Formats: sequence, C-alpha cells, structure tokens
Amino acid sequence: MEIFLATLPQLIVLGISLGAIYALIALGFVVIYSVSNVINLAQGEFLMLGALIFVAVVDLVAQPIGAGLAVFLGLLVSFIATGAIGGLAYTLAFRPAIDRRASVQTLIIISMGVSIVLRAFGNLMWGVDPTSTPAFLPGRTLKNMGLENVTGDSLRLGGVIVQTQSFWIVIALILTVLGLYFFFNRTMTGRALRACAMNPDSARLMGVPLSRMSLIAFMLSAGIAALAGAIIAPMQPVLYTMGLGLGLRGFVSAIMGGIANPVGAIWGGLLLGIVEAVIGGLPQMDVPLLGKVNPASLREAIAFVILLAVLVIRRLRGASGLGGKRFGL
Amino acid sequence: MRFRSFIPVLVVGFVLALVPSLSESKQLLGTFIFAGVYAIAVIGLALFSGYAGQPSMGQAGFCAIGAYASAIVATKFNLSPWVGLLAAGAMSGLVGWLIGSLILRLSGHYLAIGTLGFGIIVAALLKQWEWTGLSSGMRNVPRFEFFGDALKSEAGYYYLVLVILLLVIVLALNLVRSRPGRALRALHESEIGAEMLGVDTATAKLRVFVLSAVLGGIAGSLYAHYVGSITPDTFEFTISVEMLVMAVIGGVSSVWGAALGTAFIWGLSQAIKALPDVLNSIVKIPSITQFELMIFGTILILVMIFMPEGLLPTFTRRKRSG
Repeated sequence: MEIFLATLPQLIVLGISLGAIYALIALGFVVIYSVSNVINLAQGEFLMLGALIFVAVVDLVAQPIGAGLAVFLGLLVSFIATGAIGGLAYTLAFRPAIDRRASVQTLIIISMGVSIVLRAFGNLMWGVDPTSTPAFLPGRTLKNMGLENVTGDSLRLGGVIVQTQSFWIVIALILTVLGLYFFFNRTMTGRALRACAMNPDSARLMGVPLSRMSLIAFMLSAGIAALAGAIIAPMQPVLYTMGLGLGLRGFVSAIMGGIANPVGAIWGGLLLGIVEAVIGGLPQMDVPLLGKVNPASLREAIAFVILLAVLVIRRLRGASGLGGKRFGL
Repeated sequence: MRFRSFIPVLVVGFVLALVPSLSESKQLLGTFIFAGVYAIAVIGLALFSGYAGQPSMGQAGFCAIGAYASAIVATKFNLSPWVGLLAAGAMSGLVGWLIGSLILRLSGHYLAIGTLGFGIIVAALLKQWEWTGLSSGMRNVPRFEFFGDALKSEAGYYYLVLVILLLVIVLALNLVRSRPGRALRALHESEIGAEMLGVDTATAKLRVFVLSAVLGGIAGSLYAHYVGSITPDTFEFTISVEMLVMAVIGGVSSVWGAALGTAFIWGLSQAIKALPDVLNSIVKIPSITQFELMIFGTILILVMIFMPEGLLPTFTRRKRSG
C-alpha cells in the first residue's frame, strides 16, 4: 500500500494525459449530439482513421522534409481527411435517416453500422499489423538541448516521470478548447451551430440551414477525434481496432458530463482518466468470490461501476451532468 | 391466446422441424442451432427494448451469466445439465432483478449506457475469476441427457432448441396480449400517460427487464451445452450489439420481428461468407472477413434509413395498404 501511495502523483499525471484524450473524444460526441441529436458511436473509428492517416503521412514525408515538419503536415492532413470522411458519413448515412425523421434508437444503430464499415475500411487499407510512430519530441532531441533528466522519451520532474508526448496531449486539449471557444463564440458559423443546439426550430426560422450545420458538426467532430488519434499514436500500437475502446471511454466521459455539455465532457474525461490510472496502480488484492485480483485488469469494469453510480446518484438528485445543462463553451 | 395467432407458430414450427430430414449436414444444422439460440436471446431483448423504447446494449451479459451458471452446475457440481438450464434462468433473472432495480431508474441514453456498462462489467469480471478459468473459460460442458443419447446428436439438439424457441415465442406473444403486456405498450407510448391510467410503470419495466434477462440466460445455457466450451470473449460487447441489430432490423416492437431479424442477419452473414468464393474468381479481394463486414455494415445502414421500423412492420403495412 505504501508503494501505491508513493506512486500516486505519478498515477495522477498519467491519468491526466489519458483523461485529456478521453476529453477530446468526448468533445466530439458533445458537438455532434448538441447540433444534430445523434449519438455517434463511430467517434472512436474517426480517431482510429486519424491515427492511421497521421502515421502514414509521417512515414511518407519524414525523410524528405524532416521530422518536425512531418508531424505538422501529418496533423493537418489527418484533420482534413478524417473531417472529410466524417462529412461523408453524415451525408451518406445519417442525413437520409434524419430527413426521414429517424428515431434516436435508429440513429444509434446507423452509427454502429458506420463504425463497422469504417473499421473494415481501416483494416483493408492498413492491414492487421500494428504500426507506430516516434514521439513528437523524442528524448534524443531534449538531450541534445542539454536537458539532464531524460530517459527514453520521458522526463523526470521531481519524483514524477512524464512522457514528453503527455505534454503534447495536454497542449492539444487546451488548444482545441480555445479553438472551439473562439469558433462557437466569435464566428458566425459557430454561433449558428450553437443556435441549432439551443433551439433547432427557431434557428431554422431565423434562416440557419440545419443540415449544413449538422454536416459541419460531423466534420469538426471527426477532425477533433483525428487529432486525438494522431496525438496518442506515439504512445500505443496504431491499429484498426484501436477505436473501439477509446471511443467507448470518450462516450462514457461525455455521458458523465451530461451529453450536451462540453465543459462537463472535459471534466468527465479527466476524471475517468485519473480514476482508471489510479485503479491501475492499486496492488493485487484478495477479493471474496473472485480470488486474487489485479485491479489493473479490472480498470474498465471499475470505470463503468463508477459511471453507473454517478448516473444513478445524479438521477436520484435530479441533476443532469457534472456541470450545468446549457451548451456553449 | 386466441387460436388464430397460434397458427403461425405451428406453421413455422412444422417447417423448421423438417430441416433435419432435408439435410444431415452437421454444419448446416449447427448454423440453425446457433440461429435458434440467438433468436431466444433476441426475443428477450426485443421484449425489453421494444417496450421501454430504449436500446439495451448488454444482453450478452445475461447470456454470459446463464452460460457460466449452467457450466458451473454441470462441471463443478456434477449435476444434470437440466438443473444447469434452470440455474441459468434463475441466476440471470436474479442478476437482472438486482441490476434492473438500479439502472431502470435511468432513462433515455443513460439507460442505454447503463445496460452497456453492465455487459462490459460482466465480461471483465469473468476474465478475473480464477475458479472459472480466467480468460480461457470453461471446457467440457456436457450435453443435455434425454432418453439416453437423443440430444447428443446435432438433430436431437436442433429439436431441443426448436421446442424451447417455440415455447418462448408463445410465451412472448401471450405476454404482449395480456394485461401486463398492454400496460407495457401504454408505457412505450407515454410513460406519464400510463402512470395516469394507474399503471405501475416502475414495476412493469422491472418485470419485463427480468424476463428479458431470463431469456438471455437460457440462450447462454443452450449455447454452453451445445458448444461445450465458453470463454468471457464469447459474450463480449460486440455480441450485445449484434443482438440489438437483429432485434431492430426485424422490428423491435414485435416478437415475430425479433425472430425474423435474427434469421435475416444470420442468413445474410452466411450468404456473405459464401459470396467471396464467387467474387474472388472475378476480382481479388485482400481480406474476405473485412469485406463481409463492410457489406454487413452497409446493409445495416440502408435498412435503418429506408425501413427504420424494421423489416416486419414495413412489409406487413405494405400488404395491408396494398
């Protein structure tokens, strides 16, 4: 137990970087849901495609233009290409159903269909072997810059070891949030999107084209998910199956925050990340009935138990999410 | 139950009973047995999802509980598999009742994610349970015994599944037309409206949730005793999704729709499996299973766009208007 307490700060740091990824995915859920009332379970597949496209671009151009520029180009291409795929998914699969006044349940099933197709596409395009990509800021570069406490691609800060990629994850989350804030509050399109989220009927009466706004929401969300995928690509095997688990966690985070609430989604993501990391660090224990249990392998289950508890307690207290209910960053 | 609504059950039962005499292919019968087992779980799911009006994304969790309960009774306690089948129904019903009293307080998307969470928790816990073989699961689950070795043959097992499936259909049709069934339908239209008319909506929902859990458990047990080995991965999240797809494609608010949806999806995946042999001779396909999945996903999307109520309601309405 002492070992566990000693590693706690380390686990929390790890949790924040995991949680920032979940938060990014959750934001995608919130944007789509707020504007078009679709729970898009294919969000994880957008992340997967984003990661695979990013790796492909970096592999292709790292030699001729250098690693730094390759990362930048990879992020850009991944954002745009996946955004386009998101737009395509909306136009081909969701829009025809929405135009026919499909129910929430029907739309969820359609999003499952979309994720089946996208996953198969990812497999056909990139095969079954996991690929990987170097960290954005390799430990080597830091060492060359004269930093002492570098091991591999990690930095030692105080007693805590932080992967350099974790910084990029947190930076990506902050930039995305700032970008979304600017977009939703300062641009005409962003305001129109918010109008659709608040009251679709009045928005339409004011001349806001609802289906074009939904299209933008899908493209934007797919793009954000792609960024999340590109940013974690150096930290885990990149493969067509990677979207399922991450998408599910993003979904859980969004629900914890109250599906239409972006601020709640960010808190939900961070909370889930920290809880998962901390549980993963617990020592092996004896549980009656189950026998010896390694909490790390029960992470997922425990996260869901917590989720259920949050949902039920909140329901009993009559609240809707971790934060308020209104949409807007 | 009126005799008229009994006729389709008899007809379907009669036609399906002919299958073993048409072909003795073990593979074909196996396919039909799996479809029947699925159908039982899917009808259970449809009873709940069709009435609560919300997708249940954790039906495979109940199948897992049934399968494991059955396997434990038969292999660890050396009791008759029939006791296992009863234990499967009882255990999944009990868990359904416990879980239901908790998560049925939720509604809308929250209920859907609650059921999803349940399925994932069950699979994760089973992977950690040393007594039941962790991730490698349980093996050597015996077949049912009935007049000696009657159920040890494929055909014998086929008839067992068929009889249970028909009983389940009759039970479900009866429920739909009974007083509690009407209460549930009222609940589906408007929960507040139903409450105003004196329906105890919370109890009604819990009862149908437990029933759907029991059917899932029975399906799990039938699966375990047929295949003989089970692992936690047999009942993973994607199976729950597949079951929901079957229920929704057939028409989630009808018993026959659920059965039809199961048959449709099952037939479709068999047909797509056969397709690449034909296609492969024309164009070279790199990965056959992924190609299957792509077609599967596309058909799913198309059906949901053009027949959102599912196949059965769409066709029956056309017949009536035409």
